[in-house]
Amino acid sequence: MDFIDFDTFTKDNSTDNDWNLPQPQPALSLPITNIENLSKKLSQFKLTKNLIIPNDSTTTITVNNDEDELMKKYAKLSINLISDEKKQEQDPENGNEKSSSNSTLSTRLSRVLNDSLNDNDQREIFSYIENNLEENELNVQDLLDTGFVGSVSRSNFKNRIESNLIKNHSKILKEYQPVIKQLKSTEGKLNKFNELNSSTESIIDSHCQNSNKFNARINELNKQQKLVLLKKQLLQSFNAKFTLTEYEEFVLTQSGEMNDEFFKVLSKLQKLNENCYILLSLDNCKLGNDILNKSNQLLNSSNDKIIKFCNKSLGNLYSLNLKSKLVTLQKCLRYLQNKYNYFQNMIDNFINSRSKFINDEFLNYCESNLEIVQQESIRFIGDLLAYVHSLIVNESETIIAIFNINENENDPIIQDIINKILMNLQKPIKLKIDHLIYSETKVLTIFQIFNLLDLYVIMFKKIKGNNLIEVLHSLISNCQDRIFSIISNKLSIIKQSNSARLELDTDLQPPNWIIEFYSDILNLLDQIKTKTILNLTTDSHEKFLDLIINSPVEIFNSHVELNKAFNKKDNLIIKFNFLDLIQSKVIPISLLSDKVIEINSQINDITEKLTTLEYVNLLKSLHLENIYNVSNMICPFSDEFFDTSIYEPIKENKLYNLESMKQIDEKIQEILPNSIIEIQQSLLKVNSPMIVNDTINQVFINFIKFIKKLNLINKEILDFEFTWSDYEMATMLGIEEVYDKEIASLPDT
Amino acid sequence: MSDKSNILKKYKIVFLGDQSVGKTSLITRFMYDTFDETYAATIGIDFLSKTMYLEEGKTIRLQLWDTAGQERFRSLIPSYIRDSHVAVICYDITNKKSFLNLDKWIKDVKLERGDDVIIVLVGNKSDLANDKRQVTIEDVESLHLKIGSKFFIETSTKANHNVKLLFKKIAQSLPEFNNEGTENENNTSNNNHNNPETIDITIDKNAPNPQTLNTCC
Ligand SMILES: Nc1nc2c(ncn2[C@@H]2O[C@H](COP(=O)(O)OP(=O)(O)OP(=O)(O)O)[C@@H](O)[C@H]2O)c(=O)[nH]1
Ligand SMILES: [Mg+2]
Repeated sequence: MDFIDFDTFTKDNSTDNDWNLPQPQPALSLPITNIENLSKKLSQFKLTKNLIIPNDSTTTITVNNDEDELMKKYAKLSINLISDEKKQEQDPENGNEKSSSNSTLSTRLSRVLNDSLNDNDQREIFSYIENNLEENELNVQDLLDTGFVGSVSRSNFKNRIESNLIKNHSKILKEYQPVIKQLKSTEGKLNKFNELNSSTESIIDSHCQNSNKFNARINELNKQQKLVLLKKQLLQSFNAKFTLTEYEEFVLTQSGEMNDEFFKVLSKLQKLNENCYILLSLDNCKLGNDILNKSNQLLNSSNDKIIKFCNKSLGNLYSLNLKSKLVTLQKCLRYLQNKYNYFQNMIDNFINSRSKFINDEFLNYCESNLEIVQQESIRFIGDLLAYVHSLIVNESETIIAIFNINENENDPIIQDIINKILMNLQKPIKLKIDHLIYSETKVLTIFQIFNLLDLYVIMFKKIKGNNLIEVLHSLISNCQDRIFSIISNKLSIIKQSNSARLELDTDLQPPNWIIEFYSDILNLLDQIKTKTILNLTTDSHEKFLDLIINSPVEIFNSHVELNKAFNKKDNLIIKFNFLDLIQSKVIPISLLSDKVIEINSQINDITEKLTTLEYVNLLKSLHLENIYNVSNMICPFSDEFFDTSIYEPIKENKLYNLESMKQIDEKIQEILPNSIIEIQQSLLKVNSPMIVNDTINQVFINFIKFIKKLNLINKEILDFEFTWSDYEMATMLGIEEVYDKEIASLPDT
Repeated sequence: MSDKSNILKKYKIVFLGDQSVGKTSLITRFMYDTFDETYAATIGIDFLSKTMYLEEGKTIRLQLWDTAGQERFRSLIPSYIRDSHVAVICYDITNKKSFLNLDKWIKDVKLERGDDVIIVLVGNKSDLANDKRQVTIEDVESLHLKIGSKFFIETSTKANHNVKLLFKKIAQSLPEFNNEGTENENNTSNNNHNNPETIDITIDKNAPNPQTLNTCC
């Protein structure tokens, strides 16, 4: 087509690839647009090629008849349209006629002119055309000419318009040129910039990639780091819990000192060792085992070190005079305290060496006091017990000073140590004192030893931690035994002794041995203030009394029985004298009051026998013996009841007659006045005058009572009376007062 | 502070004197700061020990041997005098006889220890001085000069007079004490904490009467 289409124009540029400028959208707001629209609207408006040679031939016209006709039709229409317009202007009523003929054209035109173009645009277009017509000296008529002229002029016109249009376009385009230039230069810049941009982008991209990689790596590393940190923490806490630093190991193993640090590390090691059981419970217990072994090894060596130190310090207590040593030792002890075996072992060692030391001290002490032993056993034992007393308290104090690790002086551990150390003193103490007890022969000395021991029992009970009281008790019982055995030995010697037997002679005095025997014992008994002798049990107390009272009596009696030189009376008198002596000795001793009663009854027994003996002798001398026996057989005279008739049977007896009674009466008168002297003479060797007196009185009273009864019987049966009445006889015998009392006490006859 | 612990060092002090002069009361006052009116005769010999804290952090462990004054225990006593460093011989200022008997006690001490002993004369029951005094200060002073005792002092365990001072002076007169009788302060506080027997020694409120107190060294 002849029209330069704006679209096509623009499309041409697309060939240039570098020109990537986006197509202006919408199209530049140029007046051309209208033209374009117009041209579009006129697109149907085709001029045939034939129009270029309008006047050539008719044939061509005929050939192109159709075309011509069509052109004609259009032209007509256009003209009609114009004339219609003119008519309308001039004569609007005439227009109607032509309009029908031009209707085709008008529809076309209206299609072109109406619609989208607004009035302004249309006006502009037409005014433009109008102006151009004038400028180009064109005639509207020509243009409207349907023939060739018209076609040419229209084509001209169209050309002109087109050239004009081109001019305008180029003019406008010229205006754009600097911009284009600028744009071009800008384009270069932009290209560069783009290049730069893309290169930057690519760099950034690559950087991005890099940094992504980097980030990923960092993330990974972070994770790793966290893990590592966790691991580190684990290891650190593991380290803290399960390992010792080299320095700590050094402190435990190498450094000589056992200071606070040592114990701190040690307690750490202990904990570590204990914690190993956690490790051992893991699936893999190798680590636990390793650490356990290592820590055990360290612990053992540390323990060894501590024990070595303890043993060394405890082996030389003088070293503990250094406060720091003592403090360290106590730390060691406190540490070892819970390790029973170690502790016990060490304590046992200490107890052994300490008790050996104490024993040596004790023996040294005894050694250096040997002279005293020989001189005075009491003093020696007194000193010895005082020495032991202070040994106990000193040892207790020392042990407490060393072992008071739990701030409790009464700690059973301490008590145990003290007890065990002192325990070994038991033997030597017992040996020493026992030796003295058994070599001592004086009861009194042993008694003093006994008292001393008894006192020390009280004193030792007041001080803590000693089991020596047991020793004292056993020594005390040895003293008791010893006293028993000394006494019984003495007695058995006396029993066997000939000289003791020979001591008994006709002077009928108690033997000397009994005096000697009691001199010691009575001294002892005198000092006793306890309920029982030597604090013996009541049983033993009784045995002891038997030993000191009954046994000598038995021995003496056996000696007397063996002595053939004694008659019955001598026998009684010497026994009496013996008992009398004992009684006089024991009466002041309240502990022996029971024994006094016992002796007293024995004495009474003997006195009675003696009385009977003397009485019988008196009756014999008066030839009354038979009569007495016979009548006594009928009815004992001792019976309170008396009636002469009871004695009636006496008549049967040949000896009982008046004659014999007369003889007896003579005898009485002959003998009785001297009888008092006779009896006194016979009882001369009885040591107690009071008893002699009593005996004589009793003999005479018995006699007179008998005589009185016999007199009554005689009177009844023989009608005979003795020359002297009972009262006269009593007066003669000097017992009238006693007899009075006796008679008074008798029931009336 | 010295690094001496003195665990093996024992300072033995024996209390002597007639029955009922107040030996046990003195020790009881010192140990427990108490006093008992009722008399309970001592049986045999009692032992008590106490750590004493003196100025300058010095401490000293005293072993106190309380003897019985009753005649029947008399024979026990020489054995205890034998290894004592100090003999505290007591009498009752209201009982002349107890003072006269000091000779006997001093003789016992000299017999066992010769002059190698610190003798201290203590006249107890000074609270009764106004009404019942039978022994004057002059009496004891002349005895003190005669026998060469370390010092003499009148005390009252009832009124708690001069008791602490007595023990403080005893401690100070121990010959070893001045050289080595000190202990670590650490230990001091330690012991103080765990030892109920300890007291701190400060001079009695009742300042000693210069007349009743005489130190001869
Ligand atoms: N008024 C007074 N009475 C005292 C004083 N000291 C002790 N007593 C009393 O005197 C009596 C005897 O006191 P103890 O301390 O038992 O005497 P002791 O010297 O130990 O006696 P023995 O143990 O028998 O030797 C007790 O009743 C005490 O109360 C004192 O300072 N003043
Ligand atoms: Mg007492």
